[in-house]
Amino acid sequence: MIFLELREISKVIGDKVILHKINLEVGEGEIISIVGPPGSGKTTLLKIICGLVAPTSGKVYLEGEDITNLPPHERGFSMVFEVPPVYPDRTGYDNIAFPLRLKKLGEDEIRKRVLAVAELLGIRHVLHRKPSTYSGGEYQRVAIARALVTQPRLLLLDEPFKNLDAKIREAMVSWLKELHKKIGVTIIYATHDPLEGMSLGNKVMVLLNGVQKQLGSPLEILMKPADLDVDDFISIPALNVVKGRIEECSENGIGVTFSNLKLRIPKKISKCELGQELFIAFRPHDLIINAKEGVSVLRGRVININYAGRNQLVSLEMNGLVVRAVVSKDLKIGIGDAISFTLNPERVRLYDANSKKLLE
Amino acid sequence: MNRQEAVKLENVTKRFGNVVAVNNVSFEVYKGELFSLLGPSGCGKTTTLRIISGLERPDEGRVYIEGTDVTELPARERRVCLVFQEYAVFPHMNVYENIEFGLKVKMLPRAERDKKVKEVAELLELVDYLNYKGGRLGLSDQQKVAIARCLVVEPKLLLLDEPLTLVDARVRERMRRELKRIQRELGTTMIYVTHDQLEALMLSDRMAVMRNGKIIQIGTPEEIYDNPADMFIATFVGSPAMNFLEGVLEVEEGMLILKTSSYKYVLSKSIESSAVQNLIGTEVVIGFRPEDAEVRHSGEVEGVIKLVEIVEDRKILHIKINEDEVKVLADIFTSFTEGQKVKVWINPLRLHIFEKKNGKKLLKGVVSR
Amino acid sequence: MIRKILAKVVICIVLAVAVVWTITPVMWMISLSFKTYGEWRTPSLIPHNPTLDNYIMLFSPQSITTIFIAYTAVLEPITRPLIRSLIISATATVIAIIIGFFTAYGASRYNSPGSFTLFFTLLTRMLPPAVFVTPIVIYFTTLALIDNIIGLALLYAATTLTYAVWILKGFIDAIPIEWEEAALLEGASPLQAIFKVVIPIVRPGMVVAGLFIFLMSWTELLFALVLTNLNVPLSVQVSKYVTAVGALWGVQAAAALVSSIIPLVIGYLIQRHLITGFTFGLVRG
Repeated sequence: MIFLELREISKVIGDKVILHKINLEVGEGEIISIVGPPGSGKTTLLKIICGLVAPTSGKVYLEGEDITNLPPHERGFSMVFEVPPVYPDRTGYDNIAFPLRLKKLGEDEIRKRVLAVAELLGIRHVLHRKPSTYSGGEYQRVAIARALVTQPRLLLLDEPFKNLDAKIREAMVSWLKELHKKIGVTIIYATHDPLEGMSLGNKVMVLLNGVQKQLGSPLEILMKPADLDVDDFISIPALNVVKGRIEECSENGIGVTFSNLKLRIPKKISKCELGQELFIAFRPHDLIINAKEGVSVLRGRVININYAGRNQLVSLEMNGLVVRAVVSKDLKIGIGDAISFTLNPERVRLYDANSKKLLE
Repeated sequence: MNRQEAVKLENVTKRFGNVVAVNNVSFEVYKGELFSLLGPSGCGKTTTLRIISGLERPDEGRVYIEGTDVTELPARERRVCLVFQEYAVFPHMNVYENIEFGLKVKMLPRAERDKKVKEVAELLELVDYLNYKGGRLGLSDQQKVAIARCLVVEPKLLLLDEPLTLVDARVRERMRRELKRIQRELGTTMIYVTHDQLEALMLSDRMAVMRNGKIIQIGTPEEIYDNPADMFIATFVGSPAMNFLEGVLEVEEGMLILKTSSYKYVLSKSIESSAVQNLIGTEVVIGFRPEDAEVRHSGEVEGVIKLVEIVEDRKILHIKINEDEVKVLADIFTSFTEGQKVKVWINPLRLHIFEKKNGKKLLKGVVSR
Repeated sequence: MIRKILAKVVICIVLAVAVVWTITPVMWMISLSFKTYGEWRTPSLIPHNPTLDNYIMLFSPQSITTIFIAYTAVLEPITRPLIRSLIISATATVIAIIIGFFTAYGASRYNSPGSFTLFFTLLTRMLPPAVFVTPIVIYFTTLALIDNIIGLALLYAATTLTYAVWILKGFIDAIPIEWEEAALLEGASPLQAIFKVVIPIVRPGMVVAGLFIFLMSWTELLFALVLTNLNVPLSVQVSKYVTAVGALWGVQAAAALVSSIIPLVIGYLIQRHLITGFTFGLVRG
């Protein structure tokens, strides 16, 4: 059963297209991540879903019913914004009770529900304090408590953890995932950080410049990005992209050349044409270091090393080309060392030079 | 190696009212290295940086730059340059004029100014932007201009206060690489303040971890990561965070066992080191990093997968072992599902043993290589 | 080292001069208000024969039978202008804050009435008020508002409105629009969002703007002088003790002291709000 559906949602302001024909189906209890760089239209999309912004065209359906023109408070959704609505002039309790008081519930009922949600989120100790005394994590949790206390059917989160310290942000993402397991509310989560989006969502929408580039499970998006732009956006550390040309088409793979280097990729694509220009893309994680000699072995010189705890990020220079590789922390290397490597054929992706579409 | 001192802090303390922001801090930074101060918000790292810069005066202790006592010297006479979290780029000037500004103040002749500006612009890959107005630049480029403005006056010391915090995730990753390259090429001494452990690990030659105004460990990124001094650092540095199991060390049939409230973990088949021997029977906390454990077909420890997360190129498996929960990394293309029963192997070489009472590190590794 | 000590000495001297410069007139005024008639023109700071005559004269001029008797006929007890001034300033403040808040809200959220108009209202305040005196007198005569304290209150509300708008707009700009949107999502009407979210949060700002407007209305002299005749506010009353017939310096000093006590008391009562008002930190990093 489809819980929420967006059909061909577009938003145009003046002559600027903010969103272009967005389609999305959300099942009850799912977490959907919307990932895109700042300014890609994520916030506008969330505001359209909750009714704060009207779409220029397209429809929003809730359980098959058209709610495009329903005023926001009749939808029963909650939203936590990038600047979370925790009012500085009142205590945590009054902040969380705010929406219930608007609904004119009895104080006993309000008290019961506020305490229950505070218990669930582990913030009972901040109920009597004002927001100026909160830590970053507490601040965000009060905001989420306020959004959850109305028992919404859908929780919309717009970069709720953006302003937190890196370590706390990580903990909050895990916390949110566990919370979701506990209460099962449907969540739509917008973030500029593709890693955060993929770690949280069971489905991910990649939104670039208002265009829905891809929708799928995190693994689908990681393994088969729709085009080079998606691949480039979701890869952290940054994707390696080189321009090359097809030199050989055979039964057991294709041969490509780039920067005077030859590479054989044991992989078939549906339309293999000699001389065809393409982009060869591979993530820094997908280099295999110190490979045995062979046709597809490349050689580079280490020009930069960033130690990163469980692994290290290495920049290699070969024929004027710089390639980044993530290698194990146990590999002992230094600047200027020569390294041979090959590419994991499963994880090299080829994109058409003109359309940037994935070649399969 | 001949290491020359660039900065030395000696027992520096700074109080704001009743709050001790920096508590008896001492460390040295050597010439040409990038030294990071890492810690959570409010740990005193920014105040320490401001004391080095001269914007803040310590209540106690001395500050030396290149051997000279500068504690009483005002900021402008220290020849240090500070890059802030917020961009200090003049929006009405173009990039060239922004970089040139510090040289103009020093009244250098035009030809020399031009030469220096172009050199720095080249190094920071800003040549194509020299005519852009400061206000037109993206956030990361503005921050680069701020760094260029500092570098062009050739300071003895470049101080950076969370310069990448406001930049978005992808650009931050690129800037980390570039900063490291620039620092290596120039050899300028830099002190870098951050709350992001990954940033500190990636950029630093050496780093200090701070908490509640005190320095709790100083070392190379490798030392801090592989050999954290206590449980706080073990949790704070590294992502996903280190796993902890609390229990008593025991010996059963010659095997080293950790007995927690709900499970018996076999840590190693034999007990070789006497250091371990001394700990038998004591209450400890065992720590191991998620990448130092593996899910295997066979093994001594059995658990159930509770949650599967994807981070970067890895899957994080949250595994429940009776009442305990640990995180283990697995390849991203493995097909583990939630609810699946698995066996966990923990690398005995990379086990950390902490004192239960105060979290201090006792031992690393329970077998010898 | 000597240079440093020297610098400190110079700073101390400069500060001392500044303190004397600002405190002396106030001290002089207090001293004068306790002096007897004969002493008014002597340059001593401590009164030789301290007296309350000036204050008695202030509050009940009729009870005085000394040499002041020539003036008592024209003077009313200061309590009446005091009450008038309180009514005028309070009314002006309330009107300016209410209208000012909604104008500021529109300006902040909907860019209404447009940034130029908003700036223009500020421009009018840059002209000398004397320019407006003649047209205002004509208006007030036509509307029969001359010598009417409500007329004066309306005029003050109108002239200070632009400050209320600018101060409050700054405060409202600092409130993220999402904070209201959250309330809308939860079932609040737009008006409820304003009353339950925006107003409680900008309350310190309203206090700051209100105090500012109250003080401006309290001390305004030019329009009050021109537009009142018998129903004079306090500022005019204070000026009345120095007339063509003679100058009651001691009584005027006492009147000035009384007229500055009200703002001091108000300022003290709301200083807690003032502090939160001036340090309006909303969003934590």
